[in-house]
Amino acid sequence: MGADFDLLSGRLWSRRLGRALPIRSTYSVTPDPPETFGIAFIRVAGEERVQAVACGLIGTRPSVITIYNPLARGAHELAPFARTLDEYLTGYYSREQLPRIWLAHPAAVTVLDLLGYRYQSNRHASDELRMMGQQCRALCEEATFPGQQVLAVASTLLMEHIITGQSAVEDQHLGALLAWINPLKGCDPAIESQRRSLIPAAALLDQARDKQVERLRRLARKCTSSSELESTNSQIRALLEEGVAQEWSLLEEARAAFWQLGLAPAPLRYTSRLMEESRERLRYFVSVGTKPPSRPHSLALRLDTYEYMAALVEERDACCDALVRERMRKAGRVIAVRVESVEQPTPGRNPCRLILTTDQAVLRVRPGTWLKSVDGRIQGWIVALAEGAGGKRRIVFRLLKGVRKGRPRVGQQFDMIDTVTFDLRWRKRAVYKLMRQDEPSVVYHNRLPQSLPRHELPNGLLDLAEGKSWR
Amino acid sequence: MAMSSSTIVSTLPDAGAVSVRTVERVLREGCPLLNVESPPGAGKTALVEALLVSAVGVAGLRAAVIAPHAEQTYGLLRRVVSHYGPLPLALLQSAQRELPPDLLDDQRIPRPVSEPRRLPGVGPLALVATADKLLFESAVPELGKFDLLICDEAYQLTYSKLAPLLRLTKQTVLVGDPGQLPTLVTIPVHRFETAPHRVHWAAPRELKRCLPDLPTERLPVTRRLPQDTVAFIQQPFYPNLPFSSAVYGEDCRLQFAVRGNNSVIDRALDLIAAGCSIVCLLLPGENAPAGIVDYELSEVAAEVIARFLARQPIWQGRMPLDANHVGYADAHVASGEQTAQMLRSRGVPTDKTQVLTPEIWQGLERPFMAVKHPLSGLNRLSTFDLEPGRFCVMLTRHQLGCVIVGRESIGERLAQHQHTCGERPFGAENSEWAGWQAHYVLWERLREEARLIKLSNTYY
Repeated sequence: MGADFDLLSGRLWSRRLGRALPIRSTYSVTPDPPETFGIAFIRVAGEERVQAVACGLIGTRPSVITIYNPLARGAHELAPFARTLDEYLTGYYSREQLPRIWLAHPAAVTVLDLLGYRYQSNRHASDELRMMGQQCRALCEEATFPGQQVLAVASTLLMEHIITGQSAVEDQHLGALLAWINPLKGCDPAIESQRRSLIPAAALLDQARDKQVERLRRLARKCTSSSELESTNSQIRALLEEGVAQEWSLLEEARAAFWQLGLAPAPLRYTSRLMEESRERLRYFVSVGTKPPSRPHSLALRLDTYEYMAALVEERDACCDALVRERMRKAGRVIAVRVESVEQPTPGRNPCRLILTTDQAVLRVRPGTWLKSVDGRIQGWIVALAEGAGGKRRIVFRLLKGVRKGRPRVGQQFDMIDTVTFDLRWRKRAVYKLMRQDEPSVVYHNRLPQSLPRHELPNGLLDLAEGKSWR
Repeated sequence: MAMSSSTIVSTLPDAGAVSVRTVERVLREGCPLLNVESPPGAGKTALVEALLVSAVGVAGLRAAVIAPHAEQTYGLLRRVVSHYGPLPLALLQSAQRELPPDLLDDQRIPRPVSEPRRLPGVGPLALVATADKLLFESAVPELGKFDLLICDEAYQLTYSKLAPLLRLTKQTVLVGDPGQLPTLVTIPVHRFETAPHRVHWAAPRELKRCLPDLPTERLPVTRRLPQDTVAFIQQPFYPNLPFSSAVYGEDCRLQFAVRGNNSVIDRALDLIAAGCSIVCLLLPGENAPAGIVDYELSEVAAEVIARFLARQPIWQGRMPLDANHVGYADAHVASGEQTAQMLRSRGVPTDKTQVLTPEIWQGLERPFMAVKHPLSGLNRLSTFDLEPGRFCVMLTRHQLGCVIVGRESIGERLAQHQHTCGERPFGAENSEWAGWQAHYVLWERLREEARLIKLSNTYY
C-alpha cells in the first residue's frame, strides 16, 4: 500500500482511538535551550498590521504591547518588542549558542516577516526598529531552510509529528489540532475540535472583540477630551491584551503538548551539523542582511544549500527515526539486505564487493545509487541489480567505506538507506567564485559573445568526419 | 486508423541536412552558443558523435562532451569507439567509480583519469565527463580551456550546473529533448521560480528565456516512433517542435504467429498489428481503489504483455520478438512492482521484460511497450501527476506499438479538474496548466481516433 493509504488508515485509527497518534519516533528539532523566546501577535484582519504583541521567555509573564492605531505611520509602540527581541538574540550570539523562538502558527511567521520587510531599511524608523526589522527578516529567512533549528512553529511541528482523526485541512487550526493531542475526558475530540475551530487561531481577535475594538477606534477619533480618549484607549488596550493573551496561552499550550509527546531526541551526531548551519546562517543574516539572492552564482549556491540541508534532514530521519524509516522502506528507499558473499581479493583492501540479496518488493534504486548502512559504518554504490531465485533481488555492491573494520560478514542482515550526504559546497563556492570573476556574457549580461569563424577549415566537415567512420 | 507514413517520409525535411548545418554553424561559422532540439529517437547522440569527431578529428579542436549521468557518458564512449577511428579521447571520472566490464575490457577506451592534471595539456582532445565531474574540476587551473563544449541530454541538466562551465569554453552546443522530464531538484522551488535567473530550470530552457534569439536547430524527424504515434504526441508534448517519423510503414509492422482469441486485449493487440501504434485499454472508473497501486490495472497490464508474448510476435522483415523486446513503464515504483509480480506469476521474466519508472526509461527503447496512464485512479490531479514530461517519456519508448492501461474516469477527472492558478508564485510559469493541456489534448485525440477501448472487470 502507498503512503496515502497509510496516512488515511492512520487518520481512521486516530479517530477510533479518539486521540492523536505519533508518526515519528524522534523529534525533528533539538531540545529547547534553557531560555526559549516566544512571540504572539494580533494583527488587523485583512491588513496584516500588528495591533498587539506578546513576547518574552516562555514560562514567564510576557511583555504585552498594544497599538491603538495600527494603521498609523508611526511605530514607536513597537520599540519595547524590538528591545526584548534584541536582548534575547544578542545574548545568544555573545554566548555562541543557538537561540530558539517559538511562534504558534504560520500566520505569525507571515506577520513577523512583514514586520521585517517594513522596518529593516525604513529611513523613517529608529535604529532600534531597523534592527528589529533585520532580525525579523533574518529569522524568517532562516525558517525557509530545511532542518533549521531556530524558529519553531508550533502547528507545523505538531503536524510533522502526529496524525489526528480529522482532515489535514482541519489540522491547520492549532486549537483544533490540540483538541486531539490533549483530549478532554469524556469529550469526543472531533466535536471539541469543531468547537475550537470557531475561535480564531491565526493571530486574529475573535469576532466579538474585533467588532468592539473597531467601534472603540471610531469612537476614539471623535473624542473631544483627553480623559474620554484615555478611557476609550484603555478599553481598546484591555481587549487587545485579552486577545494576545489568548494567542500566548495557545502558543504555550502547543509547545508543552509538543514536548509532552515523549518522543526521543535525535542523536547529536545527526543534529549538530543542522544546529551549526543554523547558527552560522542566522549570524550572517543579522550582520549582513537578507537581500534575496539574485545573481546566478548566489542563486546557484542557495539552491545547493537548500538541497544539502534537505539531504541532511532526510539522512537524520532515515538513520534515527524508526517510523520514518519504515515509510521510506515502503517507498523502496530503505532496503533490508542480507550479505550472500564478499569478494575482496586482498583482505582489508580495496577493491571490495558485496553480493547482497533482498526480498523486499519495492526498491527505488538502480546501478549507480549510493547506499549506506543505517549506522553509517559501510557505504558504497550499486554496481548491478538483478533478479535472483525465489523472487529475490541480487545487488552487486561496491564497498567504499568499511572495507577493513566495518566490513560485514556473510549472512549478516541490516538496513541500507539511499540518503548519503556529501557536503561539496566548498568546491561549488570556488567554482561560482570563478564564474563571478569571469562573468560570462551569456550568464551575466544575457548577451551572446562574438562568433569566431574558422574559414580555414576544409569543406564538407561532416563528410570528412564520416570518412573516419568504420561504418 | 493508422496514417500512411510512406507519403510523409517522402516529404520529410532532410534530417542529414540539419546535422550538416549544425556542424557547419558550430565549426566554420563559430556560433558561440547553439541549442539543438530533438524529438525522441532522432539521433541526438549520433549528432553529438559526428560533431565531436568533426571538431577533434578534423578541425583539431579541444572539445569536452558532458552528460548528466555516468551511464550516458559510457554509452557515448561505446558509440564513438565503435563507429569511428582512433581519436584523442579522455574520460574524466571519479576515482571511486568503476568502468563497466565491457569498457574495461575494450582496449580502445582510455583509462579514466580522476584529476585534470593527468589530462594531455596541449593538442586536440575529446574529453568525456559527467556534468558534475567537470563542474567540480572546473576550478582546477590544470583543466585549461576548451574550444567547444557539447552537452548531451541538455534538458536533464540544471542551469546551475551548466552556467559555471560556460566560462571554460568559447563555444557551447546543447543537444536535448524538450519534451522529457524536467530536471531533478529535491526541494520546493517556488522561491526560485520568480528569481531573475531560474537556476533550477533545464539549461536550454533558461537560456531560451534569457536569450530569445538563441540560435537553435531542430531535428525534424524521429527514427524510432511510427508516424501514427507522432500524430498523437507531437501536438501535446512538442508544440514548438514540429517533426515527423522517418520510419517507413513497412519497417514498423508487427505480426502475430498465433491468432487472437477475440478477447478485448487481443483485439487491441490486433489493432497495433494493423498499424495503430497507440491503443488505450480502460477499466471502469467506478470503485477504482484509492492510492497509487491498482491491482486490477496491474493485472490488465500483465495480461497485455503475457498475451503479446504468447501470440509469438514478429517484427516483420526483422526478427521474432521475445520478452527482451517488451517493457512496462509506471510512474510509481510500488505500482510497477505490483505489475512485475503479476508478470512473474504469468511466467514473464521481469529481468528481460523490464518494469521501470519513466525516469529510468529515458534514453531507452523497446519494440513494444505497455504503460500505466499516470492519471489512473486519481481523484485529484496534482502538478506532479500532470507533469507532461513523464507521460511523454512513457509514450515515446516504443518502435512498433504501445498499449496504455488506465481507468475510464481519466477523461472525467481531466474535464472536472479545477486549476489552482493561485498556488503558483506571481510571475512563475504555469506548469500545471501546461500539463493539463497536454493530457487533455492527447486524451481527446485518443477518443476521436477511437483508440480508447473499454474493458469490463471480467475481461478475460
